[in-house]
Amino acid sequence: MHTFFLGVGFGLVTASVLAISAVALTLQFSVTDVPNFSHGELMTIGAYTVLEAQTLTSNLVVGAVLAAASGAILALILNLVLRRFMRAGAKRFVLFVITIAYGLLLQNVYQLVWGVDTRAYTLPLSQVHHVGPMILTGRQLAIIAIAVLAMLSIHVMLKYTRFGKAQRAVADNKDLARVRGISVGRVVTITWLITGSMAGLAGFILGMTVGAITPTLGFNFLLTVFAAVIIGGLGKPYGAMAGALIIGLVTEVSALYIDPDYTTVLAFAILLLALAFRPQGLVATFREVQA
Amino acid sequence: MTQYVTSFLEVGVVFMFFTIALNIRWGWAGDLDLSVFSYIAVGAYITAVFVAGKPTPPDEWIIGLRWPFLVALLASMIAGGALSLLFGMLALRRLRGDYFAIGSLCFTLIVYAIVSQFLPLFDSFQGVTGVPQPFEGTLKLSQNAYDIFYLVFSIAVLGVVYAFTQHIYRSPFGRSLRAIRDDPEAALAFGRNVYVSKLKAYVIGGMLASLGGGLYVGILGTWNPFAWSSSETFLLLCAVLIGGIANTKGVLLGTFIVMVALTEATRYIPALPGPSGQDDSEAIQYIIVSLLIMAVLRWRPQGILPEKRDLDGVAQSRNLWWRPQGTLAENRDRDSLAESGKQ
Repeated sequence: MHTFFLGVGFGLVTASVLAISAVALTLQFSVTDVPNFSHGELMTIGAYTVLEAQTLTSNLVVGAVLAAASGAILALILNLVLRRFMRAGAKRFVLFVITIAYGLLLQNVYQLVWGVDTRAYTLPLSQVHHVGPMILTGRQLAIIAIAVLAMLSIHVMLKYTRFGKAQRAVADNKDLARVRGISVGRVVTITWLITGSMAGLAGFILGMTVGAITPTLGFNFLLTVFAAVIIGGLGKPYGAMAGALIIGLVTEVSALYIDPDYTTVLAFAILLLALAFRPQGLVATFREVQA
Repeated sequence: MTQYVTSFLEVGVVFMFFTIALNIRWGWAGDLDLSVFSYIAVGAYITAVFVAGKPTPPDEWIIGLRWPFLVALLASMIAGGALSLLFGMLALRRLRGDYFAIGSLCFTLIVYAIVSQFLPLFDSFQGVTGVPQPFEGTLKLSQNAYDIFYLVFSIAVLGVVYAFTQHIYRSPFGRSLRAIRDDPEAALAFGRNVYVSKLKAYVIGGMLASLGGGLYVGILGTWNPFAWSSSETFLLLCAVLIGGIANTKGVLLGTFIVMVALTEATRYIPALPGPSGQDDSEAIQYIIVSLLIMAVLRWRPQGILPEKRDLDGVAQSRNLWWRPQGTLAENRDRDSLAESGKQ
């Protein structure tokens, strides 16, 4: 029983990383209508940025801000590229292939710049805390806190700000949003900015929890993120939070009982089954139930 | 020099099997499949275990026979077809477009994880080794003559496959496949079974990919998880796009262009000392590939040799890549109609 709660603790940490990344991916998808395959690479840049920043300062908060900024920059560049294609009338599927190519490009540029070798952060030792039956380090608690904070701010943004309302309107129907005087292009750009910075931040935290930074760090994590997103229903931020919690707990707790090499297989198998049998997500919204 | 050319052509011909397979699945049936390389790998593994014989004790792999190469190729095609059927039945029923692509990538990673971790299957990371050169025992040729013989043999098999795919393309089945790709709802209304047609195309693609994998292992002599990864699928994707998606001739041309461009271009790039002194040529190749994909999609999405449409010259309402030329309002109506039809 004791080891079970140990797994739950790790699961919560993984779920925190997943939640930030998955909510960013799903929010970006719902507003921009582009399934972004290069999301993993937006995460990787965050991890490498902090690695570079560490040569200047050991302050992790500065590192986190820089990681978020780097992710945002790459997301904005992608937005510019995609916009050129959209103006030429490209269908959604073409945009999907473009994001694949963009991800491939970034991943190999990282390899040229930072090499294939595994790198890691130099981190100060962290105090161990007993939280109920779980044992977590101070850093892990901080990660969970950051994730909860990020989720709360997304919630506040979507529900209580004018911009959040505009985002939801664009996600629902671009033409109607335009009729109501919302600048769709600006909402899309700002959404790329927000979600790109979340991805960068998630990449930094992922690099910290995994402890091994490679050019494929984000890409290897991408399908787990997709698993969380699709279980929650593509384009539903609250669903993605639930999906992240489910995937995080399942992969970490199962690692205690099966060979850890197969835990990602479990996540992918869940994703495949979810795709095959419930692509609209586990929790259907009210409108879908009625339809 | 001849040796370089023959070995280059051998690999090129084998890659043409892979791109033909991807083209049937993506170009004709319209499902972007990111798992092609897992079928190639399964084909290579199955062929290898059918000809390599029993493993020596520390190594382990299943079957371990010393059967003729042709029988092994047949077995690999059956295995590839069976695996395609398994995944196709799961995925093609509900998934289309980007969802299908994500699902297929997922499947590849599952296959990769199982093959590379589960020792008794194909000896995990060691892989299957000691595959004899096909027909070597009966022919007893010198190495140079043998290379040319194997090249001619592969080209002959490719010729058969090409004739077969052209036959399918012109057949009623091929036509209904394209109809389904261009407009699934209309095809459904005309009594076509969308799921079964797509599944058939998927299985044919899987069998051809496995056949190519079997021929590939005949050249390499060994096969392990380092020989394939999901990102190599992007090479195939690039070749199909450049040559002309859905046009088999174009796809063959595209494969050749990509092969030449990658091997020759990287030869003239000076070897810059990387951060850890590693070989950067592969990274540079992938950078070229990704830029090529974007450029082709931007300026010539139909490829060098575009697909000939059955109704060329007649007004086309649908296009695989771009919205039809029309007023903005018309396009929007048509798109929203198509979107609502999908859901």
